[in-house]
Amino acid sequence: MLKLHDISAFYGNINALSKINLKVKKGEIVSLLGANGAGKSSTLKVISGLLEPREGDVFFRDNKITGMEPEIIVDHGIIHIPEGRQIFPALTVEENLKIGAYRIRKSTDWRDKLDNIFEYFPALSDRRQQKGGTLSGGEQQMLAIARGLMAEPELLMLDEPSLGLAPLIVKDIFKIIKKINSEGVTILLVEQNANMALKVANRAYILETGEIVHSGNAKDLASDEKVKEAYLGSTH
Amino acid sequence: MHWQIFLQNVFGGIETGSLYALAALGVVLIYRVSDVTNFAQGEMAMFSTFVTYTIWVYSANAGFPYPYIAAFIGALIFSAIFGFLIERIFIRPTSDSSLLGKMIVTLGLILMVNGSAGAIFGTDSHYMQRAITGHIRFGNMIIRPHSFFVIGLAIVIMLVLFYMIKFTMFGVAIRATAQNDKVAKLMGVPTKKVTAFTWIMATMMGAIAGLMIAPATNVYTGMMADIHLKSFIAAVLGGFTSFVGPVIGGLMIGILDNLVGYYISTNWQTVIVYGFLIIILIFKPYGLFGEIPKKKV
Repeated sequence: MLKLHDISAFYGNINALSKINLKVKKGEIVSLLGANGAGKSSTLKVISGLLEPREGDVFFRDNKITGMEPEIIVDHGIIHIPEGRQIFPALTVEENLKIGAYRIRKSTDWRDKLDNIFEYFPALSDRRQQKGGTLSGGEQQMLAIARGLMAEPELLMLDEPSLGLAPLIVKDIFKIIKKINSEGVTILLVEQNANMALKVANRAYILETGEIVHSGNAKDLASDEKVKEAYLGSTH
Repeated sequence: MHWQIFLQNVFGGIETGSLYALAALGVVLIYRVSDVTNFAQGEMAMFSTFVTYTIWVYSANAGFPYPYIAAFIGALIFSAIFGFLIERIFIRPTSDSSLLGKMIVTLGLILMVNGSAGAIFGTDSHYMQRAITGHIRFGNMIIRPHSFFVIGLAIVIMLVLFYMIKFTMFGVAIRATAQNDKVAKLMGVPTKKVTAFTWIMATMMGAIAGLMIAPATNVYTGMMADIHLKSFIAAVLGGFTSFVGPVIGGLMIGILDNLVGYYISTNWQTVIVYGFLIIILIFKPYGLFGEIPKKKV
């Protein structure tokens, strides 16, 4: 469904990604793991059009989408939920959800989707008229995911959805991610919480300073001694 | 009777105030969506008014039965194209520059627009007709139907604008772009189109304000100086982060301006209006309805 071919990207002169090759198949959950600055977020930015790669190509369902404007890539069915939640703080919960439905505004009334969304996120339904900025961190993350779902994405990319959240909420978020996937949405997940990410994922790629150093089945990676040592830490 | 004179001044203040409000809304709309303080809003409105005036004169000379309507429609069409071109040629290419850089661009636009208006239309002052001519007497009060037209038009434009911003998908897209354009893009919002659209709307609102004030100021290259300055005061007074603020600010400035001019002195008018602004800013640094700006990410 998604294919990155030899992607290299730079921030000015700083090499963020070198020759990344990556594939996501329809219906999968794929995790991108690695330390801070390894290039996980940059990879998502290249896919969603925020960062133009210097070399290589991105294909989505056999269409070349390299270098397209982000809003055009959204039209193709890829939704990128950026790091740090980034909901619109001065918009209400409902308005945040409404703007999420921008992609499908011509075919669907955004209100018709709310019930379905609130099934995933019951906590949000009590807060419809509240400003996004007044929500707790966990609720904001839920809103960010909910806003992304409003667009009916085929591929949902989440950047560190667990960042800065309490363990119980992290568990909830991962449960929701699994549920979204089980209803047919393909997921590309960037995480620092490697334990969790490997548990939900089918496959994973591990990045180090802009290069893919390991890839494979999530289960195999989780039991790989080298990977364990480097990424799963002492908690395992 | 004193109260009638008072009322007449208040009414006149509402009339000019609603024009300040229109112009101020244009400035705030652009500021919020593209982070640009458009100092050239007044000069752009002046230019549009000159074009409108020219259409009015030509269509009247050509024997067209409704030259004012032709001029009004011409004003809308011209200002829409004008706003679109200014955004495309001057604003979009400089959108990555610093806030100061963007300010210099719009300050430069003042010179360019004013200079070309002088070169194209000359420096003479021209009479412009009111939308509705004549006046009505209520006791000692003299009220022009034109004033009702101005106030009514301003109210209609503001209601349409507020409805759009508050309730339509495009309005939410405008507010989302204003808050965080990068994330708005990630939601599929064509932020460049949104920005272009706000420039078009703001320029149209400026042109309407210019056309409505023209009968009082005449049409000349300096016609918008005062209304432009007052619209900025209105925007600052009401708060740059709010859409309702500039409207209230505009009306307050309009009324205050008129009352001070009549009861105290026209010489001190501007000084007192400024003093009022400064006092408000001491107590409400972000304006009456402004919120402390949140950092854009």
